[in-house]
Amino acid sequence: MENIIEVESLNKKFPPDTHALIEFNLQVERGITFGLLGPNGSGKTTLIRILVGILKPDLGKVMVISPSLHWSERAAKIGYMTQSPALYQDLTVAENLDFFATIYGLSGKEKRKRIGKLISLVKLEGKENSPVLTLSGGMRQRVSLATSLVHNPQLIFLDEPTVGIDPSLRLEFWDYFRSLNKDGATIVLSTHVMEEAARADELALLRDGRLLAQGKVEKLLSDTGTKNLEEAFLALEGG
Amino acid sequence: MSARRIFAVAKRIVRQFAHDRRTLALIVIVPLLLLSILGTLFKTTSIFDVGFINQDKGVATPFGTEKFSQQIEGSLKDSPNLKWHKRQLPEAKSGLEAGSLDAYVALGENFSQDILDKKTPPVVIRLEGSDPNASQQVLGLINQTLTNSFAGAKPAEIKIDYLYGGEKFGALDYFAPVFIAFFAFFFVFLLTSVSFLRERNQGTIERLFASPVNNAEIVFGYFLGFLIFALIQSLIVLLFTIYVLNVHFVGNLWFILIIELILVVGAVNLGIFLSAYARNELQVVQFMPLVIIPQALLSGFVWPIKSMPAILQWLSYAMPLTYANEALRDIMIKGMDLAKVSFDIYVLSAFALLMIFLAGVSIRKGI
Repeated sequence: MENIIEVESLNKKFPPDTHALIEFNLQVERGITFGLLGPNGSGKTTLIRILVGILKPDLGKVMVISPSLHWSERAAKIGYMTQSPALYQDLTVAENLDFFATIYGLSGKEKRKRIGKLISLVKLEGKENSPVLTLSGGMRQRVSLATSLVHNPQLIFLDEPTVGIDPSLRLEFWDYFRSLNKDGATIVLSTHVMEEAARADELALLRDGRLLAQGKVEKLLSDTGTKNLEEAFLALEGG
Repeated sequence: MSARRIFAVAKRIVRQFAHDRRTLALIVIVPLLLLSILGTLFKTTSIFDVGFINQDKGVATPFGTEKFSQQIEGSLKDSPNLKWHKRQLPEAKSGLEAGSLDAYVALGENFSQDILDKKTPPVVIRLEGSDPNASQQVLGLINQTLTNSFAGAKPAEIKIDYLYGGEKFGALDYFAPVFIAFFAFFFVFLLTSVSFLRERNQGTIERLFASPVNNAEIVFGYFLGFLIFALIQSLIVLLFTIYVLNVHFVGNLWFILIIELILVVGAVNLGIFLSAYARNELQVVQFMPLVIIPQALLSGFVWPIKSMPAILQWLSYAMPLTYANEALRDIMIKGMDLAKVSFDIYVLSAFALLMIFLAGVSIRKGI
């Protein structure tokens, strides 16, 4: 299967001496849900910010979607949900969605239809006209997810998407991620929760800016001779 | 560049302010409130009470004792700003101490004798003196009255004519144009820097940078969004000054709005630029003494630039409000057209371009 992301020898340093990513390599196949698993400070968010194009790497090669695309064409095909909900607090749920839909080129009936669909996906019917400021943390997280999906992106980056969301809605999100995969979209999500990571088709395990291992969950377990991801992580860390 | 995305950013800003009624009220009500206070202050004239003490003993003539001072005493007339009170010296002294008099004028015992001897008779003017500004004013008024009294008959018929303005032109007419520029600059700068800081702190700017929106579209969107509020504010301020405060206005409204537009481009981009150097809203407020107060003091707002020391004049001419004030005064008071204020327009445009450049290079700072 063709890769949608290829990263080779990626390095990123923040002054004065934080090495966020060191000689990092990664390949992500098109149409899967790919998990970035690692503790806080392991480089997950920095990697995502480089892949969405808001940070420049110091060294290394990065290919996202296609090497021949102009940055704005690439950006139009990418959805990005930041770690903490990046929303206009004083605007309503519908106004936030309307704004993001418009800057991604949606208009008229198509825009209204899409906004309606996403509001029902994140279970916020009846809250369309509530200012984001008045919503709970979990609700804001759901609005944030909706804004990242509003333009039907091919490649979706979700930075800790299910934090603060109740377990039943989390399951519904995963079902939706699967349906997006079936439609051909690729999802890259970061998490530090092992059981959530285990749901991904493929995983990259990160520690201190380095890639410990990449592969399907079963392969990672068999390669390390462990029974679960936690043990596998510890084994790779020690080795 | 996509017009759709620029309008989306502008529409979002308008929506945000539409939800924020307190800020909307602030933009309109505060300038009107301040203008009303200043309008009332400028229209209030101070009345000074001045004592007149005549101690002249006079000179003996074949027709009896003659007092030349009586001629002066008789010609002292009250004016709208000056009220004369005839007093004895001890009475005048206590009046000055008690505050019932602002000054007194005393003619000495030998006043008539000195005139007869062709000497200059001493006239003592004693001022209350605690307010230097009031002292200057009262001294000017006393001098004016005494000069007229000493001169006796009217020297000649004086015809007064004005190049600009006229008899009815008051201080408020001179100040009104600068308020329009000042309020637009102040509010647009403040609101842009706070809005942009929020974009940074709430992470929405990161979302925008991950989208197809480019830096220019963000800057233009912000400019358009704020321009709408700045123009509405200016229009309300202008109509208020003309129809409520009765400020005299001879210029073209469109010319005023064009100057305003160029100034707002500068203010929006200055706000975006400086917001990159603030971490919270308190720090944005701390930019006020740096950006707003020097311009209020040095842009010819209150003190004429020509009468400032050279070093302050240089600073004045480095400030955009100086040129906006000059252009708006020329348009509103002198009725000039844009060609005649072209130098101010060039400087304001250069400032706006510089700010666009600085906003462009700093927009991604800290992301």
